[in-house]
Amino acid sequence: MNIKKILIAVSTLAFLKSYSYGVSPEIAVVVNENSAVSKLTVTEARDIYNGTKTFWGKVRIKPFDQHDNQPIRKEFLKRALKIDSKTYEMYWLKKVFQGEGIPPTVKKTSKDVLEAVAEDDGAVGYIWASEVSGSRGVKVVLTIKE
Amino acid sequence: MKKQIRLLLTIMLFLFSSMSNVRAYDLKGFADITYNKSTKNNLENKNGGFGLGQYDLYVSYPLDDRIDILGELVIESPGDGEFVVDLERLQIGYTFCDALKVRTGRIHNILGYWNTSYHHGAYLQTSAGRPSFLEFEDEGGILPVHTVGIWASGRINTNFTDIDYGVTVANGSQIRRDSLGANAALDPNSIGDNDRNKPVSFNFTLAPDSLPGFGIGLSGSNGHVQGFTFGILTEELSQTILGWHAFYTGKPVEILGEYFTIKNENRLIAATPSFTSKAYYVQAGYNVANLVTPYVRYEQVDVKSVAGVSPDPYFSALGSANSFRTIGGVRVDISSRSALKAEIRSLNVKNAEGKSQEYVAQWSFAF
Repeated sequence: MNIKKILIAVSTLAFLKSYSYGVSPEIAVVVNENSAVSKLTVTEARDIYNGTKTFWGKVRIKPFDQHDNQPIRKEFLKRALKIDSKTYEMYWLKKVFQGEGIPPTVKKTSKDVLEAVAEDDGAVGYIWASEVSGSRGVKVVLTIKE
Repeated sequence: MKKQIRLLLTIMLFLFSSMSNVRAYDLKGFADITYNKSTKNNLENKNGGFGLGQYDLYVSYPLDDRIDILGELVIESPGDGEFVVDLERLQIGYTFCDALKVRTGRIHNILGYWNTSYHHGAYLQTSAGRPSFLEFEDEGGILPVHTVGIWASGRINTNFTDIDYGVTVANGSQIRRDSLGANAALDPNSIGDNDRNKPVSFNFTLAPDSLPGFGIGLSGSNGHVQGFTFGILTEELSQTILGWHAFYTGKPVEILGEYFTIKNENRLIAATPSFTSKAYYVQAGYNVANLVTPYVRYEQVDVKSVAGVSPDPYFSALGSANSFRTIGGVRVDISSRSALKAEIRSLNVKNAEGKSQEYVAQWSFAF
């Protein structure tokens, strides 16, 4: 077989594969670089964002959420909590009314999330995995694929 | 009365605004406007009419990493054209860890599921109204839905299920009548207790990991209830309440159910039998496209009576009789913070009240 044709076929396959990964980017859950936490499971991330896990030892966990107009929010709620935005909002409305917790603090963008997490030892947030590169003061403890 | 309301609101706003970092949007609330037409022979709803529901304002705020407060005011009309301000909840709590939080103040009684999940927030509940036996004390409710005391609660994670628990030690209720000796209602004794007895209440709910949205549990309370007429002790009861609750709130199906037994023993008259009455409901709804939820509910109250003896003295004092009610309705979530509801209610009370139908439309919202 012509080597040139083989190279074209392999290149095309590689391109298609990278394109398919670009359609479903990974979500990175990040904590402060000084946090004692080195790894989180999806279940633990879910418990943090639904307010049932609020302490890491003696440190109060401070979760940061993203604004509902950010596509990553919908993806994070779907992948980690298995619910939609409306259900999540109703859940926290009820929980706050019951006096059973404080909802995650909402930030406008991933950049704001990274800044907030870098400032507080108990902070946790989520961003696209591709946005972690170059960020300071945070570390990735969980990567969530589709 | 209006001056008193304005004064109270001013004081509350001042107190909240004097706390550092309290912003306007930390004050949250619920409200509803309802149209009601009933075939009952009462003036309020016989001709059909619009009514303001409860205007519920609350603040839930962390003072620091472990201490938080909650305050809830409800402005409502008792039906005489005036409006009153009720301090429904005022509590402060300390979180030791996820498995233990201790609170004190005026709280929702932890019996069952509905009372702590929905309470004054009509928007939160699928239906327009509460099950009749879970009505608030000043609206004919037969269970103590508020209490003042100490509350320990928490969540324990196991490999298979979460366990939510709560235990309270609080003031008991009393049966209070008006100056004419009529209109008996439960009073949760918010500013002091009329006797030494402090009921202990508990609630345990299992929420299995394998079925998100599902919970099943047990609750109960044991204490004394005294009743007074013109300041004279007319009822004294030992009361034990036991309840079972189960719920599934995953979409699209919602199913709720609670079953209570209320055992009352008369301490005023020796050698009288005890009475164990029952009250329960079951409700089911189906959510379509995150927009429309048709639902049905059946409720029943069975008041125990013993041949040759008066019916249960507790229920007699509160004017509650055997009854059952069937409700069919639909909820439409027209926005993320407001819902329209319409219901047809069919009530049958085994006293002079008899049978009646009620037609209800409600616009409820949260802010």
